[in-house]
Amino acid sequence: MRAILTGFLMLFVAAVSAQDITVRGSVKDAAGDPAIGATIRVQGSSTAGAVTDVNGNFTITCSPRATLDVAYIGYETQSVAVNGRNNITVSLSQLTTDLNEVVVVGYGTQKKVNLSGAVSTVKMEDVLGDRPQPNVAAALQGAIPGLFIGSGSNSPGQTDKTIQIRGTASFSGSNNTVSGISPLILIDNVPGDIDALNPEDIESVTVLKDASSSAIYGARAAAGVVLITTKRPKQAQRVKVNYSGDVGFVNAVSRTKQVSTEDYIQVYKDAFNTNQYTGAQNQNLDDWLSYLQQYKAGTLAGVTDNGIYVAPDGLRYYLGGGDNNGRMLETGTSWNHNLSMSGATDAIRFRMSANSYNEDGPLYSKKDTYDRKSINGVISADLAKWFTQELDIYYTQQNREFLQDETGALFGQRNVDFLPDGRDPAGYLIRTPRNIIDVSNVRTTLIETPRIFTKSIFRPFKGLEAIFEYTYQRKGTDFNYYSGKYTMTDIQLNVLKGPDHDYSIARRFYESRKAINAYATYRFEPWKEHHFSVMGGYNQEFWSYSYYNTRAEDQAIMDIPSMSGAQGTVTTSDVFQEYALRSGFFRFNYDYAGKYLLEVSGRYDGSSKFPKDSRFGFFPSFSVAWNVTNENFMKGTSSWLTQLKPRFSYGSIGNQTSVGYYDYISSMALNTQANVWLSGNANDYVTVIGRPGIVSDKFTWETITTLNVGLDFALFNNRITGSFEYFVRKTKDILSQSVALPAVLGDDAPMQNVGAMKTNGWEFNINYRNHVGPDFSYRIGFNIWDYQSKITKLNFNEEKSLNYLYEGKKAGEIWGYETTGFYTVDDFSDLSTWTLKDGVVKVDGVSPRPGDYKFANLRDGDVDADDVNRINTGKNTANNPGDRKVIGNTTPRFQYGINFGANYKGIDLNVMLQGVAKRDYFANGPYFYTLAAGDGIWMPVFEGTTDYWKPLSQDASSPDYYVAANPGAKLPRIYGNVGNGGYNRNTNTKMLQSAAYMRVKNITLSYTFPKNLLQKVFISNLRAYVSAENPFTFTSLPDGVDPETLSWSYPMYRTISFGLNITL
Amino acid sequence: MLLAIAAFTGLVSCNDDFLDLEPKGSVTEASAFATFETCTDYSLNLYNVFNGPNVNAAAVYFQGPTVNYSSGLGSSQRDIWSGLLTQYTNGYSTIPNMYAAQTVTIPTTSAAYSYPYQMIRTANILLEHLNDGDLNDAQRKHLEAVARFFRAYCHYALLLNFGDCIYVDKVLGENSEELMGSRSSRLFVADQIYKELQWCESNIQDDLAEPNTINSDVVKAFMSRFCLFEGTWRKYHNVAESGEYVSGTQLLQTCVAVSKDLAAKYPTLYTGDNNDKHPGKGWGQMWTTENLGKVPSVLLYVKHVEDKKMHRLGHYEHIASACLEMPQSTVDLYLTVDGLPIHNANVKTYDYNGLTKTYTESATPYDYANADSYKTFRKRDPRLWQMVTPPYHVINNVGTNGWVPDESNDGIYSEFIHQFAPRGNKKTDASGNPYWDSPNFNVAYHQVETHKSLPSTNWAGNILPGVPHTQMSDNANKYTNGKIGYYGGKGFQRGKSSYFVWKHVANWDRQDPTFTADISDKPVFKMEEVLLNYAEAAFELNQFNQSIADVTINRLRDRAEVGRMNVAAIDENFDPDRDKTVAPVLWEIRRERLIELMGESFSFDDVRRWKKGDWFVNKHHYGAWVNSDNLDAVVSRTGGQTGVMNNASHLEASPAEASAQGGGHLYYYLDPKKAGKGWLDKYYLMPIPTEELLLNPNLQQQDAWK
Repeated sequence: MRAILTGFLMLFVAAVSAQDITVRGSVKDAAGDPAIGATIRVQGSSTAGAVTDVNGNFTITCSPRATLDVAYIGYETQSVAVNGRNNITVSLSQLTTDLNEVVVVGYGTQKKVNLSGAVSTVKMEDVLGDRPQPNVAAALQGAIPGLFIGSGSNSPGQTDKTIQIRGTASFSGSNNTVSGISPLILIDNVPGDIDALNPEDIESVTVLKDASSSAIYGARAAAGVVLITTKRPKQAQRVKVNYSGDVGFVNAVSRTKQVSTEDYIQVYKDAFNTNQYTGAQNQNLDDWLSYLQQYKAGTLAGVTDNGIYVAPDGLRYYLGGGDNNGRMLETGTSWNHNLSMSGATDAIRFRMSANSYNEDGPLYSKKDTYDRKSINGVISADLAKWFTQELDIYYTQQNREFLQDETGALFGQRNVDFLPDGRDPAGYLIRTPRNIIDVSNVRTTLIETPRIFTKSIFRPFKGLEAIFEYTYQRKGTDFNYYSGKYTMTDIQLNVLKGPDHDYSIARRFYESRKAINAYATYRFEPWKEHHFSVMGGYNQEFWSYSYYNTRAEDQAIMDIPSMSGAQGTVTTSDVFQEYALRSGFFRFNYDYAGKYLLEVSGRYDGSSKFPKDSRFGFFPSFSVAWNVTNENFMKGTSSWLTQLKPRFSYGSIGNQTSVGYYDYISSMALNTQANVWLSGNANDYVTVIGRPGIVSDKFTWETITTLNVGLDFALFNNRITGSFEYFVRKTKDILSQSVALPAVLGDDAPMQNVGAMKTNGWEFNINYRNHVGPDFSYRIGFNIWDYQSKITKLNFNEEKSLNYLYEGKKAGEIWGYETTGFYTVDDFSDLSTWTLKDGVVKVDGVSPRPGDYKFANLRDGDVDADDVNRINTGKNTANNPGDRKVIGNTTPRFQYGINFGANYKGIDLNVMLQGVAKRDYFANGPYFYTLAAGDGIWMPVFEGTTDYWKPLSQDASSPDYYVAANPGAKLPRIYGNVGNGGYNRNTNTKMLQSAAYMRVKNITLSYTFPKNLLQKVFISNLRAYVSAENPFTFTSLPDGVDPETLSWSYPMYRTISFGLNITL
Repeated sequence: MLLAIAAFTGLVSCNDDFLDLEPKGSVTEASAFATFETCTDYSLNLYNVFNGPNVNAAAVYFQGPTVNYSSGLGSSQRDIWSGLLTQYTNGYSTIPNMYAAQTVTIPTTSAAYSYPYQMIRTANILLEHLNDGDLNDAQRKHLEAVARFFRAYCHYALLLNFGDCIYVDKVLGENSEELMGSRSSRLFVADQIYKELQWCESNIQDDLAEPNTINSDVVKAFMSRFCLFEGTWRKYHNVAESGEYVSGTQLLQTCVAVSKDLAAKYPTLYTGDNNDKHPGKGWGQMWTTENLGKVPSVLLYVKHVEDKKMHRLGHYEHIASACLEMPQSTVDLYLTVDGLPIHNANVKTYDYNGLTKTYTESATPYDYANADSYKTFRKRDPRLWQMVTPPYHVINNVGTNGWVPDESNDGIYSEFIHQFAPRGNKKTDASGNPYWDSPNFNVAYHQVETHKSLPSTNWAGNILPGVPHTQMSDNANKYTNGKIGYYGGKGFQRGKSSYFVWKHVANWDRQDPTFTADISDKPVFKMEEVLLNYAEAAFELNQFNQSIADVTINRLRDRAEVGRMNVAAIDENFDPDRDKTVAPVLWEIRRERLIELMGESFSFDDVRRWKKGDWFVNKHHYGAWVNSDNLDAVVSRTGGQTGVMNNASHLEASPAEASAQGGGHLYYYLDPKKAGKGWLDKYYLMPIPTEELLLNPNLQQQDAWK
């Protein structure tokens, strides 16, 4: 109705524009100073406007009945009716949303200005905008400093990403690697599945990074907390209906690339010193080259459609093919639809939403798809002035189909490029990636996640709010697969048939969680400016998991697979797990006049995962902060320094994430399918009762202590905002299986509290926003963070063996040799027995040849007295590492995110980048080295691996015998099969790679249609957008080796989408 | 507020039931050992000591880390170490055997050290719980004997590799003093093993033992093995003995006693089934028979059942990763079919007539050690043919699997094709001509009834048209004008010496490219070994004579269809190639042992206990002989020009040298002595892994390795 009225008003305004007047005005900011650069716009018009000058003055021509909107960065936009006046003075008031913004914290909310812990928060709307990213974790990548989102193994729908806060935290359960701990991910205060959420249903995401802010969540929150708050309607508003939808086109970011067949043949000749293609049928390599030439010239007759030529002697020559990884990929499509309705009266508020997302991934065919449907309804009713009841029901169904590769070769390293798709002349399908996809069946995973959340809020008297929450959620997974059978042929023309027995698998997993939270907050102000708030609460959770698996072989009718139709072996298995938690928690806040802030919180936690005597732990923490800018003496700087808040926090939390469900009970497995001993009478599996492990019932909680120093700042009326954090996180009593015990024990050592580690890091983020003229505004945000971890204490490995962690070890360090060049013929005194000259560095266990890497002799005497000028691994300890040293580190350093936005007259551009500035990586596979150390005859040659050392002659009588043809080569000499290939693949400086990268995560361009046009058709908002997810990646790694996964597997993909967002 | 906290704390901690959760559906240590049946189910873990290399494909040749070394399961790793076999790899002019190349380093960790202790723990846990449940005396005794057998077996594995070692006879905890103990003397450890086995022998309940589990005969067979090892070790390593412990002589006497018992109880050896027609098939079929339960001389074996438990040994011997070959020096150890060493004065040589398929004594005798492959294999101990693919050539005429015999040159290429069954099914091609089609063994079992046949194929039935096959030979098949071709091999089978090992290959078995799929059973303890132990121990006690030879060596010879051993005929000159420091008869007993147990990894331990590391390990490894008119068929692809050896210098021959010496052996590797390397006496015992020394300051490294 109002829209219609406004429309009429607009028409009227247009009709009377002939009588426009000139209005002069001045705009003042909160301090009474001129507001420079404020924009003035006539309401309802998209263009007409003015900007204040250095004195805060403006002039505008408009109707005497017009209303002017005055906007200024950091201030609330004010509407002023002209009412025929020629002179107007506008005093702006500061925007409250920035500093008075309320942030969700543990069991409550806090004004951002009053936060004293390390808390980052983002509004999903800001992160997502029009970006059609359907996965919450993927959307958050690069958005929050300290929050790491790993691509894991990519999967359709971008699900199952790893999440970590502030990097490695422990080495639980391991004696040779450190690991991150997953943070506690809470959806409305209860752990939940992030993949089941539609980002559109999320209001905000808060990350609690230090102990002081996460301690309230106790033993599961040791590595931080991600708090996800779903959308719910707030104050009274009219009913709004929103639809957004987009269609996207999906393709792989990159793929591995091989050299041409001609180049491959040359490498093959060099490697095997042969003119036969011994990997297959002993084809003659020169003939092959000549057939290739003729085929390309079009002069070769009798070649099959897919480029196979059967020569007169019956040998097959592959002349077509090429880019087999390209042939396995295609452009998939994705569809996304969101519909939401919300509205509220004074007493009842509701929101309903539905989402449907489906995607056909980048692999050829429709065998990599993901489909998610979710529906959410929230209702909140004020039943009495002192009582509000909320009910939130969320249901999600995820359906994933993914091909099961029975050949194991889909992403293999042996798929030689020249093999074509289709069939070979004998009629068999050739084993190429695309053909594998064709014959593979899909496994389907259906995940249903219903969740019921109720919340009762009592406000019996002023200052007290008591809340009772009950959550029930369930995750039911149905997994089904039927293998079928395939027949294929490989490069040796062997006919491969698989699997041995066709089999069906049905698995059902059920995971359920019941949680109760009861907590109350009392706020009071006993004396003026002394603000107190006390919160106390109780939490209990019960989680249970059951797993049933049935596998049945040999279907009677292969077209109709079923469990009951199986003729062969049927096996079943099951697993049951449970845990329970019961805890009390509290938080105490005090502030004086918003200047001095204090928060103390803690939790008393009990967990069923621990033996009775060490089951409970108490974990307190505190933080303080000082709002310097609220001090009177800071008045003088208030024109530019809007906020300055140093913070300090300290606390420790127990960690139960690294503990198994029943670690303190000695159990013995029943094995029925292992390679058990079969007596003469047995023709089937027999049951073996497995050996019990050594169990210690003395272990206790790991404890993670975090010290955090932070500084929040804002400049120039919040035009620049930012914060800096420095943290030291110490994990002690880390639970692990130590290697302290000699092999004589006969078993792995039991879990014990074995050591401590320390992680130091910092985070920095800064945001800047401004505008040029009334129509162009822009913002840029940058965040960067870094950490490094070190083992500080260990009760085992006192000798610092490099096989295990050792005290003083920096996490991620790479030990390797320093490459000094190649061995040359001048290094040998006898070329027939390959005896090295005196003084030339020797290698233990290896007889070097010209063209092998030569490593620097860094230390002598590590093995024995004769260890002089010999390359070896010494005692394999940090103190006696032989000739190795730390040559790099795999820890991702300086992870950063950049986002940029600009708006011009309804056109919006948003760009998001994310990357790692420094990271080392060493790999010796065929993407990096020529062929492989063994079985090279079947290896393809990948681009970038052809610069290898070559001899001028292999003829012993030639003066050029093993003299280097290319002494400056990057890669060592290639050996056909074994030789010194393994030696050259030792970790070394020359082949250390950089895994640093920068990825443009998203570029979105949108256009908002002018309101005055829309109002005529009763639409309140309409936007159209185009968005590119993962459009560009900058890395020095070979094609196909993604810097996030460091392998060639289901590829990271990019999506280009086109969408529309409409609000009624 | 404090009150509130106190209240919550009270609420939280007083109600513990909610937090007491027990695992559902699993057995705990407290409840597992309730009955004879559950204890027996647990005891099956112990048999894993026999499983390792057999089920783990990667371990077949490249690992031999654990106590499985002598389980007879085809892990040939230790035969490579002893120099009897070679793992041929690309690496021209290297020394592949780390013991010959002196590239053995002290490992940081070693399964050979840690695995026995794991199984000792498994046994000790059973021993500790035998009184928990409801077992009668006989049942308890039987399981105690089984557990003690394995405990002895594992200590033997430690003794064998490391000599002195820490002895463990109870379940250890994190704080047990044994963890920080020093090594006990081998005298003590051997004494413990000896007593343990004696206890087992008198207490094991054969009526409670299921077929193919530990029984008194298995205990005796192991005693026979252990006693021979330790008895001869003491003798040849001059171990100073002490009256406190069992002596070397007593051990040898026990070996003779138990072996004699078993020899009387099991007089029959396996002669194989009649589907195969080649001589001496009993030896070969020991490794390729589906059910060893029916084989009279097998006391314990690893049973394989389709879809339940399979291995890949056969498959592994004809895929590219297989590169197990026999050097000429080992081929020369095999006797002629008459039972004579090849350089014995009375040895005969034979000509083969391909048309009549008959042999006549050769008018111009040749030297078996320096003759082409056909001559080398002709009229030799048939165990050589079962171990190494004999020479042949066929014509690959239809697809990759079809073939016909190459009857050119008077049928000389079919000499051994006729000894073996032809591989595949007889079919007719489009023009009506018959040919053989080799089935795809990937598909099923028992498509063919034979065990070994020619031509060799891979698991997909692709045939290898010719042997000798070597990577050094030219692509072209030079099977013309009576010449023997040196075939380039196929991707799946590509030799370097032309002596390609095919011991575990069985036609009827199914060889799958990706999944473990062979089901032939493999022996663990068998009479053949016991007889050899008997003969050797008897000799060491000066008891060996013709009548013992007849119940030991000659039983093996009869079954292998080789001439019998005539003890009286063995004098100083019987084998001119003999190690002159070894008595002539003992040399023949040892030869028989090496040949009979070839590929089972016994030889490294034998060579060490005989203190003969240098004699065996330092042998230069080279391949088959190439006649001078055939030198052009072998084109070196390895670095030199000829690819054959100069007999005098043991380096690669120049073309002139090669023709001057009338041909030469395929040359690939360096002579260890030539390169200034070779066996070191410290190799007689393995070094203790450094990690263990770091963890236990009281543990001392072997003196020779310090």
